[in-house]
Amino acid sequence: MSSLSPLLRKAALTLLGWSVGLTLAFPILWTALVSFRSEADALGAPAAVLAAPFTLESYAAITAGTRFTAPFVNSVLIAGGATALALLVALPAAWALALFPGPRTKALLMTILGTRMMPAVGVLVPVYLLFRDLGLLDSRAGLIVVVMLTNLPVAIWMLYGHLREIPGEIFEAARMDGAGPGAELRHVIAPLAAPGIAATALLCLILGWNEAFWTLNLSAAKAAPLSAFIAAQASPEGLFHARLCAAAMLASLPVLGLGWIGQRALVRGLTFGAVK
Amino acid sequence: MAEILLEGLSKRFGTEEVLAPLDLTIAEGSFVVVVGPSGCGKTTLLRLIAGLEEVSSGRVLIDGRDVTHTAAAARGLAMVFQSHALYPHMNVRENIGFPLKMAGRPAPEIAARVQAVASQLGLGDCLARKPCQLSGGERQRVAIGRALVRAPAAFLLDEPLSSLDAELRARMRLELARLHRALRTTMLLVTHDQIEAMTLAEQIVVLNAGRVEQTGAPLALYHAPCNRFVAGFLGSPTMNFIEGPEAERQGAHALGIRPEHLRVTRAQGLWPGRVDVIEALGAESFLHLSSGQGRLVARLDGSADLRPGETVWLTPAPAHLHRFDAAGRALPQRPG
Ligand SMILES: Nc1ncnc2c1ncn2[C@@H]1O[C@H](COP(=O)(O)OP(=O)(O)OP(=O)(O)O)[C@@H](O)[C@H]1O
Ligand SMILES: [Mg+2]
Repeated sequence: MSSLSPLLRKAALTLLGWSVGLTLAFPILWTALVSFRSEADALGAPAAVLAAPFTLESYAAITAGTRFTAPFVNSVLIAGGATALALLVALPAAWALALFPGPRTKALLMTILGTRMMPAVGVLVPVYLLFRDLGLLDSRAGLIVVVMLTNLPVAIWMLYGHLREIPGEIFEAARMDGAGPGAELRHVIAPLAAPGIAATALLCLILGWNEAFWTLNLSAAKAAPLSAFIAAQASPEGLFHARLCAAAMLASLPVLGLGWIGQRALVRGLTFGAVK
Repeated sequence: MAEILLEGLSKRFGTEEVLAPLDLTIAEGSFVVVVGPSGCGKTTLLRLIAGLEEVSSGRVLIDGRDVTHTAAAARGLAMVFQSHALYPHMNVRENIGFPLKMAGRPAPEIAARVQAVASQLGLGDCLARKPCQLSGGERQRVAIGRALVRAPAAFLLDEPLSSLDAELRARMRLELARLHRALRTTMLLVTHDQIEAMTLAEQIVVLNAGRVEQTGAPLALYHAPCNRFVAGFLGSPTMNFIEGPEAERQGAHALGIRPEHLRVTRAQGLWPGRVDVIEALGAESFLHLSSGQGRLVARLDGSADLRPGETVWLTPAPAHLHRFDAAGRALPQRPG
């Protein structure tokens, strides 16, 4: 490497970077390509798929009537509801853990994370039976609760990390300056915690949107979100390859958008300069 | 303006006693400085008075009112934090004005007060900046300004000058003294800098490992320290301590003599010594010497016409010789 000129070296690195990036992105790019092919063309050899004519017929087919809008609305409700609920539970929890640590705080945090490590399939049967007996199968409310619960450990950990970064003396200073609990929350805690809450909400939204294990297993038709909608293109009347790809593309777009907004909006380091 | 009374105040973290039960009266309008080495419990003491830390035992009274279990916001005290603790999302103007805003003062009054305090502290040019755009010294002055902007019952200052350079520190020290004379508000300042303690305090409290060693006026402590710790902590360079036969001859375990009370002569004196290093500061010089009594430091007015390696004679001024017993307690001055 050292014998190469800097320019050549840079070119080689650029080439390497692009090839790794393209390799990783290839399945997504191919999915996008296939989604714009007719069902017949989509099943051809790769070269044929590449050369086949452009068409929007798969998109037209999957969005006909309420075929797409119903699961889309379900996804929005489930991901949004689960996120709101997770924040509602995680914020006070993270707050207490971060600002009033006790001797068992560490152990508790590890336990919380540990529940996330457990394979979900291990509790599928009990959860399924619980849902059946409570009449929650194929209901949005049930899915909101279960998606919220899977995201809760992540939400608590992320908020905990953000809140821990805010030096506690800033809150104490507010108290010394005569701020009561309400004023402290409004003028100091909320503005300082806002970026962390936004980042956590964003992650929960994305995770909730992408959640497939529980939604596939606990929903049928009424509450089915986009993950189930994608899977449905593969059955039961046979495999619709192009439609499957089109559904996957449509379902991914909101998440791509959120990710794009997120990386630009969530700048960190707000607390820099507050304390020595 | 308020009197602060501490009765048997103590603090334990778990099983570790950080502050032993202490009694202290901070008179109304006085300037009290708590001084002690790092980790002796100075910040903890301030936090107990401020109400930011639960007491383990004892009571805090402000103007006779028991506030031991009163919330920090309701005690009416202003505090400068050792870490500054500025509001990172507010600019300097908003930071300094925050206590007034919390007190519900009208906006024009806040603006005028902030302007006055900022110019007093030399912060007039950075009012629109955020804390992250300030130097360490500027941040410290904003922290001081946030306390000064209102009229609290008392000021609690936790090492408020530690981030400033020598010149600014001297100026701010003067500014604090002047401010105290003008406001006559009770001030409690903690520091590990004994010069700050000597120059600012009406009353010094020497704290060591969570215990009050001695309380009193600065010069009283300087001239009559009650033990070796206080004797060694106040004064710079520190007091010379001499142990061994010479001390026993004078009926003590250790002798103490301040550098300025050690006379250096070329002719006959009490102890012979060799000059190791001369620190000439212009107005004064410090001689570091080796002698039969160990290493000693002597202070001379002006510059010394001595050279390193030279042999001189040292004579302690008898009236300023301190004697300590084996436990470090000061023994009474010898008559004659
Ligand atoms: N929250 C805490 N938990 C356990 N120990 C603590 C806590 N806060 C302080 N301590 C201990 O109490 C002792 C006194 O701490 P404190 O901060 O009051 O010292 P200080 O005199 O202000 O020191 P410095 O000059 O370095 O600021 C230290 O030994 C410290 O380790
Ligand atoms: Mg301290």
